[in-house]
Parts: sequence; C-alpha cells; structure tokens
Amino acid sequence: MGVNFEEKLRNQQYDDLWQEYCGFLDLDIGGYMQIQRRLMEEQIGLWSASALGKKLLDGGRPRTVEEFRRAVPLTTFEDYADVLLQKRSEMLPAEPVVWIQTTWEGGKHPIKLAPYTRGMLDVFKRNMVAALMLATSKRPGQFSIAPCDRTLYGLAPLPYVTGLFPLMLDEELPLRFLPPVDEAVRMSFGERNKKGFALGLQNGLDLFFGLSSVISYITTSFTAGGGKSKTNLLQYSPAMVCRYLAASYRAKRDGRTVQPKDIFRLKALICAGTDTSYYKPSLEEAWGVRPMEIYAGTEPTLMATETWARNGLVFFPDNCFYEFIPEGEMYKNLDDRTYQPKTCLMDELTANQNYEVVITVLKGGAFVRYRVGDVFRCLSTGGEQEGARLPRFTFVDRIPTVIDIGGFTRITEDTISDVVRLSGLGIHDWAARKEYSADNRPYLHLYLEIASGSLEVMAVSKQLLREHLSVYFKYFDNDYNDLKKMLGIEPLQITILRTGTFDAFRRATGQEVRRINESSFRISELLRFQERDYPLERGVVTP
Amino acid sequence: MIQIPFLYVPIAGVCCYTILLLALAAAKKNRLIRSFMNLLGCYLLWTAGSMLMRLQFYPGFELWYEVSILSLFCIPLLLYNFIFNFVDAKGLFLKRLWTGLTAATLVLTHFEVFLKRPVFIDLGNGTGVFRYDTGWEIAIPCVLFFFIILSSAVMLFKSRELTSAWTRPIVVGICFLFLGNVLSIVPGNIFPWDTLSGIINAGYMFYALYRKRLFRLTLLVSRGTMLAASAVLVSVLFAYWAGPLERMILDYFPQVRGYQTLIIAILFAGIILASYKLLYRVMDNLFVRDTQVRAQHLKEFSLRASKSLNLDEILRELVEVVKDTVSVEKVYVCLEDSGGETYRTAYSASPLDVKSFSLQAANPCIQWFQEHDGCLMLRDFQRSVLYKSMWESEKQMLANMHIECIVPLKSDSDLVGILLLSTKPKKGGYSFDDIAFLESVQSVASIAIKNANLYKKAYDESRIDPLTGLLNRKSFYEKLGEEFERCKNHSIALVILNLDDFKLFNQLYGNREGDAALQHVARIISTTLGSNGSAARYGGKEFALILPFFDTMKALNLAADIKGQIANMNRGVEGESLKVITLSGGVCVYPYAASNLAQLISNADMAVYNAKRSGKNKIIAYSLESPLSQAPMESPLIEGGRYEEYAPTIFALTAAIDAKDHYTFNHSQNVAEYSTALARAIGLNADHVKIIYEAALLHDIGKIGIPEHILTKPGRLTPEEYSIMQKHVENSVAMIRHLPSLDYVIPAAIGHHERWDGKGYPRRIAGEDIPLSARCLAIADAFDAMTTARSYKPAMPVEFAIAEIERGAGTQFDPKLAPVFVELVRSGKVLPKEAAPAK
Repeated sequence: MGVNFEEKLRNQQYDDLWQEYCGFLDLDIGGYMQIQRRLMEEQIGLWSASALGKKLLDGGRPRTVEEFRRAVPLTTFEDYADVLLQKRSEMLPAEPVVWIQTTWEGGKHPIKLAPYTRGMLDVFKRNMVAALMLATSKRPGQFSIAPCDRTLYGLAPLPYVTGLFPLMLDEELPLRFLPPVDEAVRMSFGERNKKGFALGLQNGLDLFFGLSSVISYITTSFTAGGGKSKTNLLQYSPAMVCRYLAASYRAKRDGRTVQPKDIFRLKALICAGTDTSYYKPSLEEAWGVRPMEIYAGTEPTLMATETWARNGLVFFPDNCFYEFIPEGEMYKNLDDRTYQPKTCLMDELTANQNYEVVITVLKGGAFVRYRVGDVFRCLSTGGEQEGARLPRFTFVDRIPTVIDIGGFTRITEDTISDVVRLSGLGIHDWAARKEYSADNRPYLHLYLEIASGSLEVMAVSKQLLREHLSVYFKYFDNDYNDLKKMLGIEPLQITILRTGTFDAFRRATGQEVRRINESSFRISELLRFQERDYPLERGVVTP
Repeated sequence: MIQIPFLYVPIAGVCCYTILLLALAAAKKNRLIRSFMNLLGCYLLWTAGSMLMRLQFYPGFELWYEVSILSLFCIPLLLYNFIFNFVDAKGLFLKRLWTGLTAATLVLTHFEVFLKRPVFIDLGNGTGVFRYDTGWEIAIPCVLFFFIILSSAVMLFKSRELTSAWTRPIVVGICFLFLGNVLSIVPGNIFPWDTLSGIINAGYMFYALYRKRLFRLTLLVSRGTMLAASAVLVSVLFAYWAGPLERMILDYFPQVRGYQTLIIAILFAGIILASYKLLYRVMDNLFVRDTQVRAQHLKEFSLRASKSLNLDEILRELVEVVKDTVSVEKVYVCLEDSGGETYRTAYSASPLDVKSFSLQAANPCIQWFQEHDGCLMLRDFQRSVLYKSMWESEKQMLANMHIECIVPLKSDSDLVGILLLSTKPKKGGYSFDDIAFLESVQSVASIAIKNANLYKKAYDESRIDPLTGLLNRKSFYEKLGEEFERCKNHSIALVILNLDDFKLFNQLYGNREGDAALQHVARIISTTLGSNGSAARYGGKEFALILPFFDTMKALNLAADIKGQIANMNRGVEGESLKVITLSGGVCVYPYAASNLAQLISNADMAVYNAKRSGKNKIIAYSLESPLSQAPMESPLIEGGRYEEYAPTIFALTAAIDAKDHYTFNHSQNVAEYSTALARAIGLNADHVKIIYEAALLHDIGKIGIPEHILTKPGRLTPEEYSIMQKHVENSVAMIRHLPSLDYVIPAAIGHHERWDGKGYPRRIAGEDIPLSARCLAIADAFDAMTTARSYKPAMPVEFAIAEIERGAGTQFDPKLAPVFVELVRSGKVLPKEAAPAK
C-alpha cells in the first residue's frame, strides 16, 4: 500500500511532500497542457466507448482532442439527466464509487446527480491535500499541517460534494473535525456550525473550511455577541481561558468588540463559494489570516485553488480538461440559443478577459464539454516568476442568467416567473439583478411594475410585495429559506417602477430589458426613464 | 552515607529518565527518537552521577564526578542533535564543528584542564560540601556551550514549524532548562534547580514527540515497563527512607528495639504490594492491555449484533469493530447473493471504497472455506495447490485491493459471506491475537447476518414487490395510513400512475422485456421521488406514490417529470429501439380534493380513470368540478351494453376490408366462427370469447395496407413480397391502437402468426408467452386458409387440414388446443365453410 501524507509527514519528508502535491505549480504552460491533453486522450477513449458517449456522439468516433471538440457539442445537465438521475452506471465510462448530489433548479428539477469514479476521487484527494498545504503556506515549499489539527468545517455532509472533503482528507491524514464527522452527519447545518464553533472555543482551532457566506455569518454573530458563547468557560482548555480573558481585557481596554483573531490562532482559513471576493477583506480583518479561496463544484470536483501568494486561482491540471467561452461568445449564445459558442484552451487565453468555463471531467467522469455555468476572469496568462507560471483566475459569478446569493441559491428567470405567477400579485413586468449592499453583501434586486388594473383592487406596499414574494421564493427553493435562517441575509430588495415604464422604455429604445442581470447602466436608464413624462416621449401620447 | 538536601529531586529525575527511556525502548525508532534517547541517557548519567557523587557512593565520588561532568558537557551537543533532527535541518558543517569541539572539550575535561576535581570537606554531623576550584579556563567550555545552544535556538526559530504546536513544548522546555541553571548558581541556593529543570525539559520534549505522533502512548506504557519503574521507585525510596525510619521507630517505640529491621521489612513489603496493586489498577484503567480491549470490543459487538435484525447495522458494526481492533484501513464484507453463486460487496469501511467487485463461488479462495473454518492468509494460500486454479484476473483484483486476509463468515457450515481485510499499515503482519479475534468475531457475525438475512427475506416478501423493489399493495395501504395520520393537519398527495397499453407492450416484446420495462419505470419513480415520499406497485402495471406535505401543483409537477422520463426511457439506448411507454396518471390531494383516506384513494383512482377515458397519456388531478369525475365507474372492457358503442366501428372496419379484398372479409368471418367455437370448447368465459370473436374479425385488417397485386398474386410470393405481406400484422395493430375502446383485441391480433416453437412472426415469441386468444386464432386462421381456395392454390380437403393441424401441434400450434379443435371438426361442431372433398 502506498505511503500516505501522514506517514511522509511523520518521516519529515517535507520537500517530497511539497513536490508531490504542489509540484504542478512549477509547470510552465507547455507542461501543463501536455498533462491536460494526455489525460483528455484517455478520457476520450473511455467516454466514446461508453453507452453514454455513443448516445451523445451519435455515431461519431473522435480520436484526438481537436476531433472531439468538433464532434461533441457543448452540453448541460439536461443532456445527461435521463442517464444520471436513474444512476445508470452501466452506461458510464467507468464504474462510479459514489454519487454526489446537488440542487438543480428551484421548483422545476429537484436534484442533479454526478457520478464519481475512484480515479476521480484519488485526484480529488491529492488536490484537496495540495489546497490544504497551500492554505497554510506563506512561501513556496513551506507549509504547516499536523495530524489532528482542529478543523472547523462549515460545509454540508454527503451526498453533497463538500461531504467528500473530510472523508478524502481522512485517507491522507487524520484531522480532528469539529464536531467529529460521524456526529456531524446527524446534525442540521446550523447545529453543526454552532457545535463546531463551540468546540473550537473550548480547545482552539487550527483550520477553518467553509462557504464564505457561512464563515462570514459565524464571524459576524461571534463579534456581535461580544465574543461570548453559550458554552461554559469551565469547559475551556486552560490555554483558551487565558486567551479568552486576555482578549476580553484588550477589547475592553481598546473599546472594541472581541474579534476571532484575538482568541484563535488559525493556520489557515479556506473559503469557497459565490461572492467570496466580497467577503474576503472582512474575513481577513476578523481572523487575522489571509483567507485562501478554492473553487469546487459537484460536476467539476475540486477545480482550482489559490497559492501561498493568494493572488488568484490556479486550475489543477489533472481533474478536468478546461475550455473557455470568451464573454462575447457567451452573450452571443445567450441572445441566440442555437448559436454554438467558440471555446479556447488554457494556453489561448487573454489576460483581463471574462470566460465561461467548460469542463470535461477526466478519469472516467461522465461530463464532457459541460457548461458548469460559472464565469472566471483571467488575471494573468502566467509565464511569470516562480509560482505564477500558470494562468491565474478570479471567480466572477455564475453565468448572467443565474442569480446566486452566498453560494446558496440558483435563481433563474423561470424561478422568478413562477414566483410572480404564483404570487397572484398584479405584477405586470419585472427585471431582476444581483447587487451588493454598502457592506458588500449580495442581494436580489427586483425591479417591478404593477399592472394598472390591479392597483385599485389590490393592497400594495413594498413591504407586502417583498414578504409575499419571499413566501413563494421559499416555497420553490428551500435554499432561499436558508439564506435568512442561516446567514441572516435579507435577500430580496424591491423597487416599484411607475406603471408603464417597461413598455415605454421598449417603445422608446426599441430594445428589451433583460429579465436577469441586465447591466447596471441599462437599469439606471430604466429608472431614469420613469422620471420622464413618457407619454409625451417622441411627441406621441401613448395610451 | 552522606546526607544531602532535597535528595528526592535527583531520585525523581533518575526515575523519570528511566521510565522515559524504557518507554521509548519499546517504540519504533527513527533518527529523531534515537537522538532523544541519547539526550535522555545523558540526562540520566548526569543526574545519577551527581547524586551518587554527593552520596559518595561506591567506588568513590571521583568516578561519579567524572561521569556527571562528562555527561553534563555532552548535553548541549545532544540537545543540538535532537533539535537538528526535530526540525529536519540541513547542512552538516555546524554539526560537525560542534561535535569536534565537544569531543575535544571532553578529553580536556578528563585531564582537568578546565576544572579541577572538587575536594570533599566533611562538616561533621553527616553532612559535607564539595569545594570546586574554578579558574578562567572554565569560561572556554561555557562559551562553547553557549554557542551550541544559541545555534540550536536559531535553528528552531528558523524552522518552518516555529508557529506549529509541535515546537512550542521544546521552546518552553529549553526555557525551563535555562531558568533552572540560572537559579542553581544563585548564591546561597541549595535546592537542585538544575536537576528539576532537566526533568521538566525532558518531559516537554517527550510531549513534543508525542504531539508529533511518533508513537502511541498506550503501546509504550506496557505493564512490564510500569512494573520495572515501580520496582526502581520503591527500591530507591527504601534506600532513602530506611535509615530515618529506623531512627523514628527507635525514638518513638523504643520497646521494639531489636525488631526494627523486621518491622521495616514488613512495612516495605506492604508498600511494594500496595504500589504494585495500585499500578496494576492504574494500568488496567488507563492503559488497558490489547487483549482486554479486544475482549471488550468483542463483547460490545456481540451484544449489539445479537440485538439487531437490521443487516446494514450489523455489517456496519462488524466493519467498525474489525477496523478498530485489528487496525486495518480497508475492510470489505461480501455476502452470498440469493443464487448462491456470487459473493458481492455489501459494506465497506469507507463510503468511498470501490464496491463493484464480486467473487464467484467457484473462486478458489471461496472453495478453500469448504474444508477450512479459519482465516485465510493470502500469503499462505499462494503456496497451496488450490491457488494454482486462481485466474489472473482474480489474483489481480485481490492484489489491487491489497487484500491480505480473508475471514469466512460461516454459520452451520454455510458460508454466508466473507470479510476481506487489507494489508496492515507499516508492514505489521496479522498477529496471533488478530486472527483469534477475527475468528471470534466471525462466529458471532455470521449467525447475526444469517438471522438478519432471513428476517430481511421474510420482511421483503411480505412488504416488497419482488420485481420492482417498491412496496407491494398490502404495505402500500399500511404506509398510506401511517403517512395520512402524520400529515392529517397538513397535506398529503396520492399519485397513481397506470402504464398505457402495457399488455400490448408485453405482447410485442414478451414478458421478459415487459418486466424489464416495469423495473425501469420503478427505478425512474424511486430516483425521482428520492426521500420526498414512498412508492408502491399498486397493481400489475400501476404504481402509487405517497407524497407527504405535497400540494396539487407540486404533485402534478413530480408526476409530469416522471412521465417525461418514462417516455424517454426507451429512446436512444443501445440495441433495439422499443415502443414508447406512456402513462395515465391521477393525482388527488388531501385536504383539497378529499376529506378522508378512503376518498383520497378512490378519487385518485377516479382521476386515473378519467385520464384513460380522455385519451390516455396524460395526468389529471382529481377535481370536484370535473364532469368526468362525476361519471359512474365503469369497466372499460366489453360488458353488457358497452358493446353497442364500438360494434359499428368493427363493422365499419370489416366493411373496409371487404371493399378492398373480399376474400379477407370472408376469411375473417370464418376465423371468427372457428375460433369462438374453440374458445367455448376450452371453457373460456363469455367476455373472453367475445374478445376472440372481435379479434378474429379484425385480425387481418392490416391487409388494407398491402398492395392489391401482392394480396391477389396467383403464384408464390417473392421474399420481398412475403416480408411486405408479413407487415399486415403490425398494420393491424397500428390501426386498432387508434381505437382506444378496441385495444384489448391487439394481443390476439398481433400474435396470430406466432408459432408455439417461437419461429413465427412478428415477435418470435413462444409457448405460453403467446396470448391464449392468439393461439386460438392461429389454429382457426390456418384451418380456414387451408380449407378455402386462394388465388394461388385450390381449397384443401378437411382431412388434410386436420392432419396438418395435428402434425403442427407442439411446433406450430398449441399442443393442447390443436387436439380440441380437431375434435370439434371431427364431431361436426365446426363446419368448414368451403372445402375440397376428401380424396
């Protein structure tokens, strides 16, 4: 049996470990693409021979990466739903070991399932450890992980992808999860976070993993509660009592609240999820360590990590084959669904451009040329000094047709249409946009106008609309419910436009307002538009 | 012996160092542990040497002085070495330099270059002091040691792990050491601070190593170690306390003079006994020995396994107890499948293990257990004769999984399963204790598994539909009742899904394909439902879904989702493309459309009926306003007055064929007459007879679609023409399908050219897979075809036709029906319409 991370750590083979797990960061783009292409060739062979492959290829038999890109159209989950939702393992390129679940689209499709092969899990595991090493490192080759590091873990258990993290890590080195994984699976998300944090307060914390929104909520609740917890000080370890008392004294002396950094000495703070970049500064301030961002998803597995420099995400070379749809192509496709957008590869990127990522899962995975639905900005195409030889990215957001708040929801035009329809409120027209509050918290901003006939017969106020619509959002999407309950976020803001604004805008400009994520410029135009005396616009009195 | 103050400090030091050394002697050693043991050894020599020097122990303080001073001078270098290894430092220059200089210092010290040997000055009353003559020379080694310790500190601070919890104890320990040495040279001090700080330092270092998980404490502190340590402790105490105790006894109890030695001996014997007992207790409670742990684990497992009848729970407990006690990482349980031919993985230690493998019952590893009851070590097995018959793939599979030990789960000589264990980590083999433990566990587990299997089988038989794995009808009602009670104050939806034309599907593709389709549908239903509710097989082709807390919209959405998936399920799969399966569904939700359980069920049924009546392939929610729901429940099949509704359709169709091909019209009439006679003769009920009658009228209706030149061709048909001719069966079905009220005749119509031996067409189904009605039609059809004149042949004599039918019994025709028909003809109950006279 191979020697695992823990054993090498015990034998003090630090340089070996670094090379083994994080060595890919020394690759140049040529070496990186060589890995990508070679693994992709293996995957093309496996996938094309499977019943799933034959079904989607429709008789084609591509051999090279280029042929494959020509032969296979870009895919979405719809293309796999019939096979994957029924767990038809016999149709897949390789035998899945575990099926990972996620929500698909609120109200319409309950769940998505993704098969994970043992090969995928092994890559996942190594990359997970690499991310952990990088999270504790401040320079190349340096890291600080010990078996039994106390790890607080603000993520969902199996069958969600985040549930793989503790299981995967356990195969390499035993961390002490707070609360222990077997207890945690029996708790609700909220309970788990509370219990974990209480245990952390008693004995200290070394690592903290979580969705940025969740970490942020825990942090704010802690700070707002004056650093107090319901646990008894007698249950604390002596060291924690000292730290706690010292922190309280210092905070009182300086006239501020106790911050987590006063009490905890974190080795690493690892965060993920939508809007992470908005949460990062406040998290760093509160915890005294620079958060490290990773990017993982149900379909792409653990896809990218930041390095010791914390200056952007680097994509792992061996879990997926990456293609990128340039932003222009993506919008072209949004306007015309039949248009097949062009893609480029990792070595064909341009810095400071946004790209929608397209993945082919390697190692016998099911998804090929799959649109994950996330947009990245390429910060640099690499080729720089040590540790920055590969392209670096920042996660921008979901694709423009989806609104995701705090990594919890997946609101689409269909969702909002259903909500508006079901609410029975006389909403004539609407447009929704994800916006950020003054303290960088995301929310869903719904611009709507009431049908003229409804105003006389219906009670309308902003508060009423918001509460009424919220009820239906919750009905459709349990995760939306969690936003308020677990993150304390008030996710819905409403602006009521003067009746007729949308129609008048259309008539005047000859253009439609995008229902989801219209540009801020167009929205402000729309808002300005209602100020005008539009019936006289263009010199014509409109009905 | 000289009395010295605070003698217990060096004694404690000696004891501590000895215990630590003994403990570490049991550990697996690496560079780091060895360097720590060197350091400990040095501390021990220094402390013991200086103690014995002050006690002026045999052979004299000079020797002990030398031991203590030399080992003291070694300490900085050994400390450096330890830290060097601890932080995994690189670069050997400094290490070599310090080693060289220390070696030189030791040699010079031996020759008293830096420090002269002390002189003992007896102060009388049993006390004395050592006088040291110090000169400037002593500064030389001091400076050297300062630099060595400084470079250790620098190394420690530069290390990557400065912030980690591992190095902190070492830093703290060194601080103590430093502080202790400073305190000990404070003028007027007589307390041995330096010795005390040495003990604290050693403790911290030991803790640092423990934190680094270089060894397991429970394994180190064995009973032997503790007993040896206690013996040393008590002996030293005895040596130290014997004198004072004797004096105390003589002072307070002068009357026992002469017996004091005996009293002391008895006292110490008691102390030894008590301390032994105490340590025994401590060991048992704190460091329970392996065998006791095993016994405890086995006991707990037995208790839990015997209490449970849940197979999954038992397997989980089994894997847990084996994994924890034997310390292996991978444990797989494979259980015998129902056929007894394969052992499939049922559980493993991690949810991420590959579980798709299985072992055939014929696998030599499994065969081995027919004659053996014990564990099978693969290494030993490789040397057996049986191993020669292992397939390469079987060997490879076990090798890939790193399997080293296979434990049989044998109950009353039945091998209910096997336990596969991987290689033990760190090259530790399976010990005798491991094997003994595994054998005890297996005897408990195999009985528990066997019982749980029996229970599960009985449970499943009573509750689960064997074909689909869903709840059966009986348990559906129970479950619905339970859920209804639970959701009484909220809402609960009942969805009934009925597959359309499923009888036809069975006729088209045979029962096996039909069963596969039902399984597929069941799988779609259960995966879509997930944990949102329960599903049951409500009838032959009918499924019911219980959806707690659902409203009508959600239930309709879910049903529509399932319907969509089922419609797609036969599309694009490899091989033959099968007919699309559609379904009619009914949804009823309490409290909106039903006010009690009985209404919920009957209204959902009614909604299904409405869906069927209004053209199938749709899902309807029961609503009180729907006019259809007001309609009385009627049998959709032919019953009494309903016949009038569709009789005109049959006549219209037969008229159509008459217009095109008069022969076929007459033929259909004849076949109808013959087949109904046969059906009556075999005792079918009136409904069935009527179906056969109508099927016979319509069985060749598809010939409308066959070109006239083929229908009326005088000679033999070419192969192409013949295959076109064969299409008439499918044509018939395609036409009748559009008449929902007549689809029940399809099975008969589609099967009338099938043969008992499976060589017919279009589906090549055989034996009783061919519907009874079709088998009747086949005989009647052949009889009429032979006894009537056709464009390509004259009419055959009845005798000839009868002989042909008799000859074809068992190959072309049903062997039971053929003689009945022949008898009907012979007895004159069936009269041929036109037949050639017998020759």
